[in-house]
Amino acid sequence: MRLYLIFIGIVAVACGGCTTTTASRNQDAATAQLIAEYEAKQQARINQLNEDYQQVYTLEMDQLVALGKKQFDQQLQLQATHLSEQILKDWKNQTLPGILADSSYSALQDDYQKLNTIEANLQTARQTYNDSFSSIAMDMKKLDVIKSSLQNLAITPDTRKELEDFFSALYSAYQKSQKGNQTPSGNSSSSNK
Amino acid sequence: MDQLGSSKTLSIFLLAFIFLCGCTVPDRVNHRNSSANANSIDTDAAAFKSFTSTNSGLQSKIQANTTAQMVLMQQVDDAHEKLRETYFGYSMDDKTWLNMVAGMWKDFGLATNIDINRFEVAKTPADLKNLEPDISNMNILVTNQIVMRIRKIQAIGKVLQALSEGQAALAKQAANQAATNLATLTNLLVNASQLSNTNKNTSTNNSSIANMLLLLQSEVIGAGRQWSQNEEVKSNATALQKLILAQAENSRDPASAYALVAIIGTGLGSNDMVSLDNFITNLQARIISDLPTNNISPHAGASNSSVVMEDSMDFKSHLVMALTTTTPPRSGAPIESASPTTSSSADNYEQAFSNSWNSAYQLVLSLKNDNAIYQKSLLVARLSINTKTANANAENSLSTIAKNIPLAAESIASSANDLQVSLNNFGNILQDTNAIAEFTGLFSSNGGDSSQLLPLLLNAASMNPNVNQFLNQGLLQNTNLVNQWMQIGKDIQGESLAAGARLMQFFYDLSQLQTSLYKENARHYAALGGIGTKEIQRWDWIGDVYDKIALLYHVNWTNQMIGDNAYNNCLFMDSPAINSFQDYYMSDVTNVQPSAFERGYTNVWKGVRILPTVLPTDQIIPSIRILAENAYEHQTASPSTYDPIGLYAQISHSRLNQAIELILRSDFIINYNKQQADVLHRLLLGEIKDHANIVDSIILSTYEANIQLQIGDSKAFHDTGITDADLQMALQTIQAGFIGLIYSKQ
Repeated sequence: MRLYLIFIGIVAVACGGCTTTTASRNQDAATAQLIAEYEAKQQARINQLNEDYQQVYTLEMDQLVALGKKQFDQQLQLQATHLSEQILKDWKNQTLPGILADSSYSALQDDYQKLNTIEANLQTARQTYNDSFSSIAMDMKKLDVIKSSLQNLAITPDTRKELEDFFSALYSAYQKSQKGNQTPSGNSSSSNK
Repeated sequence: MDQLGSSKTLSIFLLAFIFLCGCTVPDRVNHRNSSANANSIDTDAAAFKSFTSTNSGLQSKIQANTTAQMVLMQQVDDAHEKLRETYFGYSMDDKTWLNMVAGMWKDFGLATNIDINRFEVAKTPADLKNLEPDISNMNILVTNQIVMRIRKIQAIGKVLQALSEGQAALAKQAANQAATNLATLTNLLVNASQLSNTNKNTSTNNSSIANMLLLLQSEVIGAGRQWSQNEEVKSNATALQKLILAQAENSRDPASAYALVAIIGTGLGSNDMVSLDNFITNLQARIISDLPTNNISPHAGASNSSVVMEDSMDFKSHLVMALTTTTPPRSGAPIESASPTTSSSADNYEQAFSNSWNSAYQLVLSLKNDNAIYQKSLLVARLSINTKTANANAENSLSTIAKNIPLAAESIASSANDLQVSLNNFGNILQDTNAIAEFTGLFSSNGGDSSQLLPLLLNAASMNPNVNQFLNQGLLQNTNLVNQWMQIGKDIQGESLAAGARLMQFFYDLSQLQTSLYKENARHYAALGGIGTKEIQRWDWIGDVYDKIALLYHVNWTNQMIGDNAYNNCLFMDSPAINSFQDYYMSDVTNVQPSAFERGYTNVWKGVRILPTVLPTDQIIPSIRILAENAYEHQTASPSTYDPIGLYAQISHSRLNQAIELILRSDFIINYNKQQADVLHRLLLGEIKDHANIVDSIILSTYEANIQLQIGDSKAFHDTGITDADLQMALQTIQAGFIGLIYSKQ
């Protein structure tokens, strides 16, 4: 019976006693590699998108700030033109010190208001951009876990341990089969899940 | 199945297992099942599925971000426009009429064609007379440049349209091919002997359209790349153009982006035209040199294609044909819609592509003749030099085509290459799973029915009486064991069917992605065609508005104010011309005139009522003031006393009106030109970003489909295998067999 078991064991090991095969290990290694490539491409894409987004933000906001300053400067010039035209139309009254002071004060208040409007517009632009921006991110750790798991499956298992496990299982099966043959109506199912 | 049959079936499985040792064996019996491994791969499969589903909204998120970028850019552009507009009104203070139009020419980039400074410093009538031929020439140049620009954009638009049609044809072809391949694969999965042929068919799935498109795209990008590397272009490129070029480099398909960057700009100047000319000249040279004419129009009508595609082209006859068949420029007709849906009505995409391509080819080639005519036109001395430079570049490019094309093709076909990689993987997978299908064939030579193969193996087994006896006698009574062995057989059959199903799913996913890619490219080219259409509309409007400006700048010198034309283009008049109008007035006898003279009409031609002299060298604001004063005086003066037939009121009003119209038209052109340039740049940039986003998503999806398949296969492998229950059953079987054998020999 011992020889018989050894014979069965050798045949079984040759036929499929290990938990993985060369083909399966190659397959899992290739999948791990594919996931690594996929991860690298996704990461590069995300980095590029976020960098691009930030770059556009910096470039455009700088321009917007510069244009706001130009706009303010232009408005000061226009304001001076309008005031001078006002004086020109009614110089006798408009050049009175009190009225001139009032005009200056009014112009100053107008400047503050325009300045605030420009600042508010800049703030709104920043806020709108930030609100609409969704940082593109992916949980790459998930892929790392999968990759690592597949790499483990791709490792050639320890032959000695596999044999030990196999013979242990074989011995256990042998003991059960003895009982099974005594009770032919055993209910074990060979179907895999 | 009776007991004898069952036991014989069992023997077949046993024999099969032994037989297949060392050969390709189903996963069910080639390794031991490990619950740890099975759990691990189950977790991996679920995790990857979770990863992809979590990121399924990524594309729309990226598109939303792109939209946000465009909104911010639009805010900047709006701020620019507001400043420009205010500046225009503000800056008229110290400008002459000539300064205003010279500024417009400068904005058009024409400062390189003529010394603009001469217009800016001119002050006297003598200066103006010296410049008058140049003003006239500049007006002709602007008009011609607009016409040329529109023609060239139309030609590029046609090329884009051809690309769009071609992609639509490919999408249709791919969809049909996918359906065919799916059916073939389904058949082959049950007929394993032909699987190797499937691989060959899959990997050599090239069509004339695909080859043609690849070449055409290569030509476009090659010409564009050459254009972008031009040092002159580089130095003149705006910051935004540089940004677009950088984006184009990152785009999955930068060909058409290159094309449009070349055409979009604010200028009509020689630099802009040289850029466009270089692009088109290179494109022409590459198309003529490289594209195989016999593949271009397999179904096109012989009447057109045979003439157009001849290598030894008669340029005169071609010119006649081009001029009679192409859309007249400045007609307002945009590029024909590049939407694939419009040309698909005939349900023949290949035909549509051929027609579209012929048309594009014809238009692109016709530009050579336009250039030839243009060389003879006025003010082309400088342009002709530039054109010669462009031609020299083209000749030079011909000699380097062999080097450039593979480079260009490699870049432009990157998306196709990525897809091809997946297809190759698919081929490899098919090869790898060949064994599964072969094993399926072992059990089912006819689509899964094992009954036909079983008798053969039963006969083989029955040739050895000991084996037969060993099995029949020992296992005859043990139906439980027989059922378990039968279950393993079913598992193996299920295994191969599941592998086939996974393959088919993968193939289906890949076909969908391939079709999506073609559709996306078609959409992309249609969108770019739309941008080209807007560009044409822009120049069409500018051209229309400028036509009147050119007329208004006409200066009326001595004795020209004759007849009914007196009111047209009468803004600029010198003193003799004004006097001639008085003569005209006096000679225009009407019913009211005699009675007016009777009432003492004598004071009209005095003081502020004399029409003022205004010339383009005058300041704008003072001109407006004096014209307004004159019109006011005539409007408010007594008609009976000063202007009985109303001609002075009319002409003074007309002159003021024309002065204001000139300002408004100039304002419109200067601002609309820049505003549209901003809009088109934004549209192009947004389209490049969107296209890159969508194509990247498609390409990453091919990876995902591939990984899903691979993990699916691994999961199937680790879920199956020899279990402890199988071992027990095997031992029970052998023991029972020996017991049966021993009993039979007693």
